Amino acid sequence: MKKIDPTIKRYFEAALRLNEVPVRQEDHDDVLNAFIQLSEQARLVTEFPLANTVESTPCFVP
Amino acid sequence: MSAYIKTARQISDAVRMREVSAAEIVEAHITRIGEHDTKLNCFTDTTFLRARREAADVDRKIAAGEAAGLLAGVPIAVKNLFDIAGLPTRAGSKIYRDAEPAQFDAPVLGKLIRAGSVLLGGLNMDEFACGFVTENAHDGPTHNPHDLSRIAGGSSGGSAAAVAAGFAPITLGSDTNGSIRVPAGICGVFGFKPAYGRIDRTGTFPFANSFDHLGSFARNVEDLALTYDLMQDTDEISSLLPGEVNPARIAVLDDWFERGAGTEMLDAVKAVADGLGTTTRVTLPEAQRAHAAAACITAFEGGQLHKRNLGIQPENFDPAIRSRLLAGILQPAEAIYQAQRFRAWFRTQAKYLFERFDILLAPATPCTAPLVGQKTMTIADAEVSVRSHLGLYTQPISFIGLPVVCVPAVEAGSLPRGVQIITAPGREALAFAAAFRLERDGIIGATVATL
Repeated sequence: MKKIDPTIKRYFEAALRLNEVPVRQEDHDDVLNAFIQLSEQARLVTEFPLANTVESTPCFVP
Repeated sequence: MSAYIKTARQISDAVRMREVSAAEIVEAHITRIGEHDTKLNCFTDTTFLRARREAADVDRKIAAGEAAGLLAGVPIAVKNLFDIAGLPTRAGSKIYRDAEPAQFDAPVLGKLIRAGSVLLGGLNMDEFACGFVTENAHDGPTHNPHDLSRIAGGSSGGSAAAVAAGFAPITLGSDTNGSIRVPAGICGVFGFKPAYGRIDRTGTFPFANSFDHLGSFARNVEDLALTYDLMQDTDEISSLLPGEVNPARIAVLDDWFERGAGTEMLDAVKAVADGLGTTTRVTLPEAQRAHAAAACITAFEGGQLHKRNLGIQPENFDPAIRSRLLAGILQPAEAIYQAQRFRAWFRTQAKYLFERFDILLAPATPCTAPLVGQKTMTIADAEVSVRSHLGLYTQPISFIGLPVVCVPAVEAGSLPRGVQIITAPGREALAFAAAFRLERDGIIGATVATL
């Protein structure tokens, strides 16, 4: 099994509690794995340098 | 010609000319469904009594000399996330299958019914439209009509397979990250995802609000265009066909949109490009990050939508979807905020491309239909999940709401392969014009599968 980044694991456990997301014990590892995959995707996004003038698109219009 | 092979246009013309009754048409399709849907599993709900009533109404109008509509007597069916009056809107789920029945049809469905079509029922999908496989944990998998051992793609798999099987010439579906284009490509039919916001989504179950599109499937370009005309009230695409396309303003997307694609998929794109007279290639920059950002936002929006039920009845979710939705809720705000900012940046990159080009081409999927039950596949030498990777080339496009006609490449003896014809928002007519030309020249086309 792939080694889990301890920082991600700590964030995950804290976020579970803070967001009051009740994950059953039997689902815990599957959700953690899904979260790790999403974190890898998120890293691709957050590492990309955007100019400060680029605004978010919360209400998206193409 | 058997009724189930006819196009919507052929059916409505024949019904209005009284060459055949709407009742006969609907019975032919009900018989076809009865004979073969046990093998395919397209329908989760049938509305045959309603269809017979609607067909009788069409026949009565024609007998009385009244206008019967552009889809007079045309059988249709819809993904089961569309409201159908009298049925629970299950959205592929166990949780909502016993919900209060919808009081009315979704407005977009109502428009097709008012145009004379008759509704045969609701169609199978991935739970909550979250997936690309239509291997529904509660309703079972939908099989590919061109090879029953293979999946139909998803999440609108029942809709695509029903058209390929000759169960209806037109069906409706939804597309959040590729859920029309993936199954259309894999089942060898035409699929259309309009620009984001062009079609009213009232009366349909959402997945990720800022990505959700409604659209349609058909076996030819003319039916697809006519359906779009009826689904929205602004454009009349069908009246613009065949239309003109300028080969100098058409390009094939490279980089991300060919990385990991099978040879058969690249061949299909080349055949379409050749047919449109272009060899130009162009890069839509940072498409991989667009794919990633789309995944983050979708999981977040979908997770928030289902958070309450994930807490009180997690056992009623498809396990494959439950984990993704729960993980989506937990993402840090920075990831979602930056993904939305990146979305604005990426949209600008596409705008730059559309200053030079009218039409962009890309494969619909990285490969042809995987086997039912297949969990992983190899893309660019990496073993990846089938369920989440069939949309590699569709996700960056719906991320910025671009309209796409997905067309089936023709090659005897091979599994279906879809190609995306992408345009700028508001320029849907160009995608239809390109598809029409390719269909006329025999480069693309859809046939009813032999079952």
